[in-house]
Amino acid sequence: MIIGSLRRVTRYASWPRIRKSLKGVPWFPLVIMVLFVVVGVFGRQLAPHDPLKIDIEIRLLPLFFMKGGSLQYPLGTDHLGRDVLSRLIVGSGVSLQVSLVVIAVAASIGALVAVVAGYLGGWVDTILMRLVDIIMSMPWIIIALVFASIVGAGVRNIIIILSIFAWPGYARVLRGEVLRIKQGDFVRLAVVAGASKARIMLRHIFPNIVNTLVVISTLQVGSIILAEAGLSFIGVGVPPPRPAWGAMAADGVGYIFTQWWLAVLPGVAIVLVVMSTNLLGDWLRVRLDPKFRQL
Amino acid sequence: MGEILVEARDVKKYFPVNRGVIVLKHLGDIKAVDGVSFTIGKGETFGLVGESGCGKTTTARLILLLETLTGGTIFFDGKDTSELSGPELRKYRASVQAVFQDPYSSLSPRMRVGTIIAEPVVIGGAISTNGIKDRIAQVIKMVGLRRDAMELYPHEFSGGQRQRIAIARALASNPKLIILDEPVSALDVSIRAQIMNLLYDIQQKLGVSYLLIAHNLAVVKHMSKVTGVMYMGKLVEVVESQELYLHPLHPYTQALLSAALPSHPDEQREEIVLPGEVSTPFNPPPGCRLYRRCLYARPVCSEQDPPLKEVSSGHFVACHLH
Amino acid sequence: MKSVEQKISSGNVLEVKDLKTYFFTGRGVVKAVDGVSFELKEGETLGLVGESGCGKTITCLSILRLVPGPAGRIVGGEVILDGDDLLSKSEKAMRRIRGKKVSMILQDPMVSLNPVFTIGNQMAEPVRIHQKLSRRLVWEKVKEMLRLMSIPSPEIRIREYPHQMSGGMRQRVVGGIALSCQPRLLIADEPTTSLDVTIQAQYLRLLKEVQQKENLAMIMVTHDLGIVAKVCDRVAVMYAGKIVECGDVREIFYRPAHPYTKALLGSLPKMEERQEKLYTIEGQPPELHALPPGCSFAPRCPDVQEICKQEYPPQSIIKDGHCTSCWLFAARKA
Repeated sequence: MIIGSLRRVTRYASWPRIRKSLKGVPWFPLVIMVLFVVVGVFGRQLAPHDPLKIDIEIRLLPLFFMKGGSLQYPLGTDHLGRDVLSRLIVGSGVSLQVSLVVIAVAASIGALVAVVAGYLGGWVDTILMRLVDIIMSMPWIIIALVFASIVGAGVRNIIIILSIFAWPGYARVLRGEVLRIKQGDFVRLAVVAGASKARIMLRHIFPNIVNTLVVISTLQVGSIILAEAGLSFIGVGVPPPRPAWGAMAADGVGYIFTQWWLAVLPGVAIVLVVMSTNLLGDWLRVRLDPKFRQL
Repeated sequence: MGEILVEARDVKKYFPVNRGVIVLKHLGDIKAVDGVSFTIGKGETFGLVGESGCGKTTTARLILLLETLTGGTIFFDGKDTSELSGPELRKYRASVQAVFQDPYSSLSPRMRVGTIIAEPVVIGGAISTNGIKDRIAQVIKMVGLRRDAMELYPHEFSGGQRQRIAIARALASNPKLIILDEPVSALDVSIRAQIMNLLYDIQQKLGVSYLLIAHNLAVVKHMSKVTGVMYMGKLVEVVESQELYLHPLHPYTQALLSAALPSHPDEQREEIVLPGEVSTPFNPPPGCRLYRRCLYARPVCSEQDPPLKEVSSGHFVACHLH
Repeated sequence: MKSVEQKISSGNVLEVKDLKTYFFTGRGVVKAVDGVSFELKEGETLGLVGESGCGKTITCLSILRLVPGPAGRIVGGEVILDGDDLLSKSEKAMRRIRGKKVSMILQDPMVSLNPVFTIGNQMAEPVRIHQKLSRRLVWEKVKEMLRLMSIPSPEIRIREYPHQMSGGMRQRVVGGIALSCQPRLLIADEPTTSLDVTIQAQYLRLLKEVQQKENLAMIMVTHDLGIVAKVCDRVAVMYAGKIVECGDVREIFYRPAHPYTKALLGSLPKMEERQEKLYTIEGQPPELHALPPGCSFAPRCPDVQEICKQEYPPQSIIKDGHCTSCWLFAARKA
């Protein structure tokens, strides 16, 4: 079975096919995303300096082209004399890790709930969807603050909190899809063929929501990164001294009138990544829509 | 008439209409199918005609066990279908298959054609993997598709070819009965004849029975030996198709036949127009369902529901006139 | 010049000459309508018959200049309505023609009507746009239209919303809207496909009656030859963007010339005969972006000759008003 699917992949992945499927890709967001992932994974190796090394002697160095700046610290140093470029590079790792894990967890739970609730209907649907309503109506920032003050701040806790609040969004949108797919004659024919409920959900319903799942996930990356940055900004995210974009922006706010770049640079990084994921998500949405597939 | 495969006896399906969120108030029932009886012989085609909402599709869904009966019994090969379970139910699922109207909705867009066709056999679980492969190759050939069709996805086929795939799937588990719910009405004119001939050939070769549901009288007449006419959940006339065309007895059948489109410009037919429109059978009043629209209505028609009775050999009508 | 032309074409409401509408897509040029010509007199019904994708609907949209852009474009030909070439008119002038001189009935009445406005409101709209009438007169006109389409109790119906009516009644309303400005030409695109058998029969009869009363020219687009037999005076059979045969309805039904027309007629199940098997056309309708050279029907034609695969046949006249494009007849002439 594995060999079979491998063979299929190799047959499908011929060069003209890849070239055709890449037609019309938004290049700029794609380059930003690739950069984000590479930097996020190999941050420690790529950083020119140790992002944690404090050196009061060289604190608050400006950008390299300004007066007093040096090419050794191209983006300057922060209030403790740490290299901003290295901190930005290493800080991307936190955003990447958090967003990937949260999306994986939330998408799985959301899809599962959507398929089960949508297909089975009845009281299962009612209970699961009321749960979704409840979670979606809770003020997640306040809950996150409370949660952090009880169990402490940290990457793992951010992931837990964000996952809890991210899956209902998936569940609600995907359930609508499931309700639509359920009406298809092919589902009815599967019942006629004697397929069990589990089989119908797994083999007939789920494959048909994958497109939507992928699109929502891409669009979600941005908001997860923003949420993580927000939590780090208000101090319940990644604890210091580990660099995170949100925390860096928070540190820089105090110097906004004198050393504005300290707050602006992490902000620019966040904006670039979030914008790129949204643009890619939009492109994917159109690309995966069967109505547009022939174009 | 040969051996009987399916017997529907006083079959009923009511859909309750309720109001309220927590405390439900039962307002009444939509009597989609209300006391329908008919038989389908082995290797024969039984046609059901009627306008939308007459209950013909619900009847089919009852046989397919997609809906549960409100009353009555359906016997398949002498067994009560509502009592099937376990291996017997699995056997029944393999023996009764369906082909639906819309070939775009009836094939899962994310499955390969081979997988789609194999599904009823795989679930049936009686054959080995190699046996399944052979079986698929066999049915694909039977419906006139190329062998490499197995490897492709449904969107790579046209409407007519998709309907062939749907028929191949229905045949894969070697069924005794195939329910054809408007099998050609979504297809192009030149493809319709191909599919109708294919279904005819398959029946000649395999001796499978068909329950054909269609609104096009010419299609039903052409394909089925016996035809039943439904109106608002009731079977109003059952007779051999040729006889139905030549001597319709029920006023509704007469109106339906007179409304059929002519096959050439000089075909003059007197059009019988029933006043009013078909309504949903929600809490229908007692008496004949056609009472308010019938041209020959008599007082008795509003009081007593006419039973389906045999007026001449093999000709059943539910009307107080006969 | 113009008056001369009008004299020549007197009696013809519509003349379509060598109309070409192409779609420029990523997969190549699709010749959806490729050199279609026909004319239509007052009070006459032309049946435009063919399978899905043969170009019958695009032909009608081209007459109204409503071809979906930017991919679709009318690249050639003339559409002459009452002596005026519609293809040379400005978009603004076309807006005055659509709904007034030419109107259209589409397949699905549920989509043609806006669910949030009352029937009366929707029927009044074209009247308000094209005729300067007082409010009261507009309302009178709407009621008159409802009566014309045999809709019972118009005073009540006028205030109802589309969902309160049955499919047949909705399609009558759509017909009423189409006729409210006394058009010269009515295009009905599969108007009865979504209706039940008995409702379809009533609707077709009603359409025919109204047409005779108003002396309308009508194009009936359909795939169903039964509808053609019932309401049409002349028939044009389309295949792959071209008219392959055109003639009087009786000529077409009793003496079809083109093999495609013959096959279409033969493949219909007939009520009055007992047949085991139907006559079929083998193969699939062609894909328009990859048409074979020569006659498009050649790959499926039972009487195919060598020349059919190389060159498209010229039009040959079989009898007055009955013409076909097929080498079988072109050869006979030569």
